[in-house]
Amino acid sequence: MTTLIIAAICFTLMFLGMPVAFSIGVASLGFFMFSDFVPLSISVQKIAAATQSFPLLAVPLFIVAGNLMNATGITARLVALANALTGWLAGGLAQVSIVLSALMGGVSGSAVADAAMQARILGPAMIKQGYAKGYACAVISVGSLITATIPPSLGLILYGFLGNVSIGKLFVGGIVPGLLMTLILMAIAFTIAKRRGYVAGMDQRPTGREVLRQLNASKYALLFPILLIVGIRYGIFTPSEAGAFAVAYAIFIGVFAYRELTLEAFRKALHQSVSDIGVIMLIIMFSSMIGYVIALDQVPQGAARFILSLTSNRELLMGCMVLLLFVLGMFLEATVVTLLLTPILVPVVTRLGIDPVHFGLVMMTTVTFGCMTPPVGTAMYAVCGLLRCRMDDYTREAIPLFGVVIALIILMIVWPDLVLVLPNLLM
Amino acid sequence: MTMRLRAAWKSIEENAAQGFLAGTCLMVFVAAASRTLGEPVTWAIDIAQFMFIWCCMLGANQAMRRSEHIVIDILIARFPPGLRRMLDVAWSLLMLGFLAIIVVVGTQLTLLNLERTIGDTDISYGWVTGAVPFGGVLLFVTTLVQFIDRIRRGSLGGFAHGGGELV
Repeated sequence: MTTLIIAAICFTLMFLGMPVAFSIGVASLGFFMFSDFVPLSISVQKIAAATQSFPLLAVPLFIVAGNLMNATGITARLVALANALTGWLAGGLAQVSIVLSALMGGVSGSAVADAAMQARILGPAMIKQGYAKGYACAVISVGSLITATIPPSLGLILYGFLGNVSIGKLFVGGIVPGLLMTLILMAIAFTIAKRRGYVAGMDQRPTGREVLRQLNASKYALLFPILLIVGIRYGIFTPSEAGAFAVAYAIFIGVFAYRELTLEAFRKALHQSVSDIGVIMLIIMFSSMIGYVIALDQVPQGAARFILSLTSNRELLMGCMVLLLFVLGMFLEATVVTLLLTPILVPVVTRLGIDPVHFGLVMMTTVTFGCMTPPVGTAMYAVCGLLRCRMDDYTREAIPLFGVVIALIILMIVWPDLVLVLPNLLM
Repeated sequence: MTMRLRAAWKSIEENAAQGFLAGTCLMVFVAAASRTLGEPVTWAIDIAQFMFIWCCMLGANQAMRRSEHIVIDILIARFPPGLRRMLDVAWSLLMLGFLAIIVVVGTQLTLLNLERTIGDTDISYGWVTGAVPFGGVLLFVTTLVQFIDRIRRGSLGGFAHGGGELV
């Protein structure tokens, strides 16, 4: 009951424009102030304690690593490699964008960052080559979902931390869906290019030697996700330590391998990371006050009972939850949905006998997909803002791409092995 | 004068935040490397966590200054200007009240925590808890300054949203 009142206040404030972190903070502090049996000082105790967790440090470390990688010169090399691999196919630049998202996926964990980067680097070239603006934006924006699925992934780190699920298994579970997403998006880009006559970006296929040369130039980026997974799998490092390794690796590449990382770029990456961390951590800190109440009220148990009373068909249950996440994702920021719902949903799905790694991949794909769908979507905003594209043009052109992503999510729900085969095999 | 003071303070604060963040990364790396080499440096994790809470609080204020905190503006964007102005005033005052309570309660808690030490170190746990009231004061000042600026410029109701999304 208490939880319901807090949630009602919190959502009212949130949808009436108070910053999300403060809506959660004000609503939870209200509980502490009017509660007879919990001292007020516990509230601040909870805020401080929320930051004092070693597993949580994976979040800031991977944020720093992601921001740093961009400053090391990796991005330019991956663009060249993506070009050599797919630039000669029909719809060349669209293919390049999709493959680049997959390649970036191995070093960066953020869809929005990938979308913004590509809108700057590939967007203008696509429009110049005669791509419809809405289509160029749609390919870049929806393609960035791949970046968030292939390990490392910030969304999966948050999910794993909040839901107490193995981040290593989640990472490995993202590999097959990420690669499959790459292939189906490439297939649809190919079909659309054929129909509309979007030509290849280059006149002839690059030679095998050229491709090898580009592979060699990008070897540090390609090697990184492999080192990461091997390291976590064999217990060489925990996910948080892996984050520190990622930062060190980025510095090593930037300073010694490519020699492009300047002190100024390094500080700029840190500066941006501080803001990113401030945004996400303020929500985590303030919502830790509410976590106490949620546990007290036995919310996950109640929710599980309620859901089980509807039906006990697992696919159907998962489908309903995913539908809810999809709708929420359309209107809310992905970060907010993840931070608010993971602690509630993971205990529920575990009780229902659903594998939390399987659910995590489905949930995070759906929630991150919310960044690409109107009316509210940060990846969509970033791309359309940078390329000055109208939202209805974007939406019309994005519908076939949305269709294949939704089909993939449904496939992931009904065929858990798609996600779980690698984690079960390797971990 | 006040502008220069503001700029100087902002620079100190941002540099400190970057320092804490770099320190957090370094300490986790030291902890990991020393563990791998079989000589774990146990205090490194304690220092990393101590630096991290300061990075979080300073980062929260930096994001506030740059209007990067997530605001859901899909509904209010369609509200009439008068209603938006009213909401702006109400939320700003509510946030200031909330932060004031956090600062007061946080200070009391910090004073209580002075005796307790962080993990394996001799450092007082007050240095960890203290980050909350300290950051609370910063957020209070930033919220107040931005609120007054909006009143002066007659732009009340203009909920800023820079959109700092990561996932």
